[in-house]
Amino acid sequence: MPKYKINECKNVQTQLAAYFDNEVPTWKRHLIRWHLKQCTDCSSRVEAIEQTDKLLRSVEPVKASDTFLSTVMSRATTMKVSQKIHQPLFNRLGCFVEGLQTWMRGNIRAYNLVYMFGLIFAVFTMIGVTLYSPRIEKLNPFTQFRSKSSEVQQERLISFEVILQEEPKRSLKIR
Amino acid sequence: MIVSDEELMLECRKGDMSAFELLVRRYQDALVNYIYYTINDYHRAEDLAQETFLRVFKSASRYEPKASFKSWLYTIATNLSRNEIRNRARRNTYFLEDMVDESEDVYQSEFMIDTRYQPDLLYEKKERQQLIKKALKQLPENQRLALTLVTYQEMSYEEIAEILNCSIGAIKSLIHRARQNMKKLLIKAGIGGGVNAKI
Ligand SMILES: [Zn+2]
Repeated sequence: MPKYKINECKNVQTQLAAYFDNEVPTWKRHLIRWHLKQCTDCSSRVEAIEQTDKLLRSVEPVKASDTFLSTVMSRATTMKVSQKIHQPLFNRLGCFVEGLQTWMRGNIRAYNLVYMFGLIFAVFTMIGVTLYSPRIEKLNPFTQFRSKSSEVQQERLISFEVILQEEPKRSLKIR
Repeated sequence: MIVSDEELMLECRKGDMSAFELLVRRYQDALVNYIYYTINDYHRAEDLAQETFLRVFKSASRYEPKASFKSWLYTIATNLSRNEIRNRARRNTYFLEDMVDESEDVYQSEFMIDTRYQPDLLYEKKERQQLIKKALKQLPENQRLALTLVTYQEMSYEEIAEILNCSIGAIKSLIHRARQNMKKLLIKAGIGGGVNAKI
């Protein structure tokens, strides 16, 4: 058997399971089918896969018992009731926040543009307030009082300096 | 019109128990069957299938229909089965060959009706089924899971990749190897040797 033929067979053989399960693209399917028509070795492998699959499928499936559904439903109902009773306040709050989140998410999806504009506006306003807060201070009526009190503090400092300078002169006079 | 699993799950999230019941009805047989083939114990398979549904119910409030419901359900079932296999291995009670299948008689009733007038044929068929199950049990865990999903649950490679958490390429080679090994095991058991033994 020529070497290129062996390589081709190797390639095809790794794809045979996927070919059998209809999991290869159409173009590859045609190539494999074309190869199988000419190659008895590979086509016998496909037959073997078919036979194994047939044997596996011959096993009778089991079914859930008659009480299965009722048991699951009663256990689920009990679970639901106990969840409601034992749910602490923190969890309920969490559920509320979660609900709010999903509601917001749904709305954002629905009114994408409007929400994006709103969000950007809010962010810019916040940045503006943080960076340019002195300008806003001018509008504040209490700022006048604040500046007055700072003037008084400066005056006090000056008078303190004067006292310090004058003291040594007095001591000289006494002598 | 058939309501999709995802729609039912959204109804279940709102607290609709009838939606949950419909989901259980839809998948109960397939799920019990799947777990049964992976752990080989019918009663335990029922327990784990119930546990799977209850876990679905428990997390219904957080359900988002991003992935398919079916894949999610089978992922939970697969994880539970894997845990069961590991626990059994730890307890050393999981001797696959020695396992007695108690459910056998109860669940073969359908084909018993077909072949009740041919006792030899019945015996032959039953024994062959036992041998096939035994061969399936001897496959490595991942190969058995993948082969069960593709053969008995008729899932696509994409779905299986999602459930077993690996790539489609890995699933391709996993199923390829599973079929090769299965063929060898069947030949060893004296069945499936009619066609060329190579796969
Ligand atoms: Zn070939």
